[in-house]
Amino acid sequence: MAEAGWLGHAARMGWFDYRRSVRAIRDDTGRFLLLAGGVLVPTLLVTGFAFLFAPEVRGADLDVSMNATIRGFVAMFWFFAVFMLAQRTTAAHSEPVAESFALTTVSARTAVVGGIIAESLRVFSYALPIGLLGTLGTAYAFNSVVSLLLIPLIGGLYVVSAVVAGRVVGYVAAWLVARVPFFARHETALGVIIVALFFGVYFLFQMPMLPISLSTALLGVVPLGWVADLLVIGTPIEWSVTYATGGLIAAVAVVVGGGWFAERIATSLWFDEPVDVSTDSDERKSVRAEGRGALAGAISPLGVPVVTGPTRTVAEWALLRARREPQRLNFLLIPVFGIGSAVVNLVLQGDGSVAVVGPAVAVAGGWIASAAFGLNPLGDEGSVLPITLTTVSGRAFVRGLITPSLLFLPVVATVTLGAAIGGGYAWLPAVGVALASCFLSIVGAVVAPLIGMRFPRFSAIRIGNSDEVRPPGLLAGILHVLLVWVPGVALVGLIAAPQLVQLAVSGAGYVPGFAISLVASGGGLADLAELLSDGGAAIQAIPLATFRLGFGGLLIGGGVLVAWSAYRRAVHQFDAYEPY
Amino acid sequence: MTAIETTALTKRYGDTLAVDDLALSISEGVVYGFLGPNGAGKTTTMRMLTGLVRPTSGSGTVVGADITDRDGLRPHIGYLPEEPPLYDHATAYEQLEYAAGLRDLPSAPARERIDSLLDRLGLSSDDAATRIEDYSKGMRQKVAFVQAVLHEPDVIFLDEPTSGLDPRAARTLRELVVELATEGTTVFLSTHILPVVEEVADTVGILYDGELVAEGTPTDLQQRAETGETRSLEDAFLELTTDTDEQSTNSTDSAIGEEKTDG
Repeated sequence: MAEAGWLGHAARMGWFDYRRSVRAIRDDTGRFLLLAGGVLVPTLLVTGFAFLFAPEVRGADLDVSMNATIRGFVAMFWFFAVFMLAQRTTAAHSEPVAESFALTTVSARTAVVGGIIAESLRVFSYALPIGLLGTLGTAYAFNSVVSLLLIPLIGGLYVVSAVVAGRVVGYVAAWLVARVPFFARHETALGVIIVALFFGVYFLFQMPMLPISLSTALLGVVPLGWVADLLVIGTPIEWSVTYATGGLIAAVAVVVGGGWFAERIATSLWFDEPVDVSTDSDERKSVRAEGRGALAGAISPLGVPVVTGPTRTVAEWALLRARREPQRLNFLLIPVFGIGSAVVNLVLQGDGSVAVVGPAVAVAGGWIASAAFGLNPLGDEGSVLPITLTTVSGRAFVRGLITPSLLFLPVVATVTLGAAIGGGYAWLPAVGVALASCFLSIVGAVVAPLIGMRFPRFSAIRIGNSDEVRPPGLLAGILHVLLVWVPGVALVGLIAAPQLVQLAVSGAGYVPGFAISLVASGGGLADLAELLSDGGAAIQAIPLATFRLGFGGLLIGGGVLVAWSAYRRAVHQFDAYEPY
Repeated sequence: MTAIETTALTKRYGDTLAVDDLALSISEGVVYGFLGPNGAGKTTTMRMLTGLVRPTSGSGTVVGADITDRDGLRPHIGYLPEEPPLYDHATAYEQLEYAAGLRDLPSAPARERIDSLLDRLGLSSDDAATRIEDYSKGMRQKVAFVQAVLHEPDVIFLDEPTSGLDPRAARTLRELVVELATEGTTVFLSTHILPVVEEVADTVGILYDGELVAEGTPTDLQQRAETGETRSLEDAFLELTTDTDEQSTNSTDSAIGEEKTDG
């Protein structure tokens, strides 16, 4: 039963939670910039379109009617939003903020609705500029006053229905993990399969160039897509009363019915006992009784050879942490999905582009191995940090963080070699690409602790229900990606496509030279433009073999120097670090 | 021989003076009770003595190692902060073997010592093979204490070590503290539980507003208490950590109260 005035309490909770998340974003410059960019770019695009087409459309005699493709597109976007919001729910919002306070103060219904309100406000914040522009643009283009009222109302309903559905799916997933032993044991594997399946199907709808693709019109049967008909009421676009009514009923049904179900599933999730799948306690004791260390037993069958002492202990601990909390590695998927989809696109465009797979695997694989363990070393320690600082030397700590990445070198090399040979490379360049991936792994692994210490993430952004899991900071991740991927692409490119690399490097002179020449009317600027263009021409004139050797040597030498310097600075940073 | 020595040790955070001109001289094998109200600067002092925070001015040594030299300090000190510093996703065995590994302690003797200390504090092997995320606050405190003393440090810094412990475990821990001191370990003990200090401390220092306002044996400090029918360390603590202005206001209030009662 909900308490009297639960809706008011929920609104207050939602507003409080929303303000808290706004403050958190404001305090994290990197995240703030990324989100601002994510809002700004589409807003600018829509503004551009509005300026270009709105005056053309205004007053024109349009003969357009709503169709299954548009409805299907609206439905597909809704499914995408639900999936993303469900992920957010399982990852960070499966419990109310300040759970013990919230659940002893208000009813589960209040907590659920408060969470939905907060999440809806967050989505509205992101969508506000683009929504506002869309509304004004539509009203102006179609001379429709009704649109000024209807688009915000229906758009708002559409957003809230996606948020409610996302919460329901997220709570159900969290409930399955909490109650069903099979899901609890295989949480990570199942999560990866579901993400892969979703994006697989999503790409089938998004990429008509695929041999097997699906038409967006197929999703036109989903009633949530029918809200498209509601959005165009008052414009010359022909819409269907049946679809519009169906869309409205569907959206309201999702909000009301979904809210009702969310309350029930969340109550069970929050108040019932989770299943216990920790059956390995006896195994841990037996490992210890056999004389092997508990730590070594915990990371078995992996092991840390060669290194000894505290360095080995830190390395074993880093492996254990990744094994026990694989959610902390989720951040690795973002750039990999990015490069993965780009490579898939290139390959699908045909004509030998499959050759790009080997170099792409070299860079991505090398980066994954190097970024997995040491990109948030201070944040990973959590409340233990003061003890770690007073227990182990910076040298042992940093070496220990680098070691696990080096253990994965054979895997990185083998996978890259396989991908390169599969992509049509001869043995020698394939081995070269594999060696380059190993070099990237090593440099990336050595550089990671310094970047992670300079840009640590301590805040308890909750991932997988654990306040202790802290993924690396966004700035640290971006910086590490740039430091590994940019020279990495150049290095691998020197083996796979040296002419292209030479062209790109010479472009570093040509492009700014050309840009400056456009604005220079003589004097120093013109001289600078000429100098830069000459520099580009000089690079282009270098014989290819010499360029490969020289630029390759520069990249490798530079990498070694950067790594050495980063290692020394990281050791110093740890030894001098004051946690308070 | 002196285990902890500081001269004019001062820490400032912006305009806030956290520790002011602190002079300590603590002998080896002594249990030093460090008292003070919230915000007096006790934790900041401990952080400076463990090398976690650099002093703004002044100097200090712990077993001869300069407190700004973390490498020099590490082998000599153990530290139990107020919040048990443990990894939730690990078991007690894993956590403690990790701590032993970081200290480069030989495996077999370290395991024996872990077993012995855990047994002493009442943690079974079943408990120790369970993940720390499933522990009660008291169990966490016990594991954290074992972690702090595992390498038999010369000086151990304990911040509220009996917090969350049941009476039996708290007594065992007090006994362990006394044993450690008997074996030559210097114990720097910060707590708000005055009976613990009365029971185990050889010397007590009272910090107030960053300044050391009194130091002596518990009996010495009890003698200084001017009020109370039976003089106690609590009376001394309350008197020493009250502003003069506040004290006179309280006396006036009390006098007015007496007058009113009388009237």
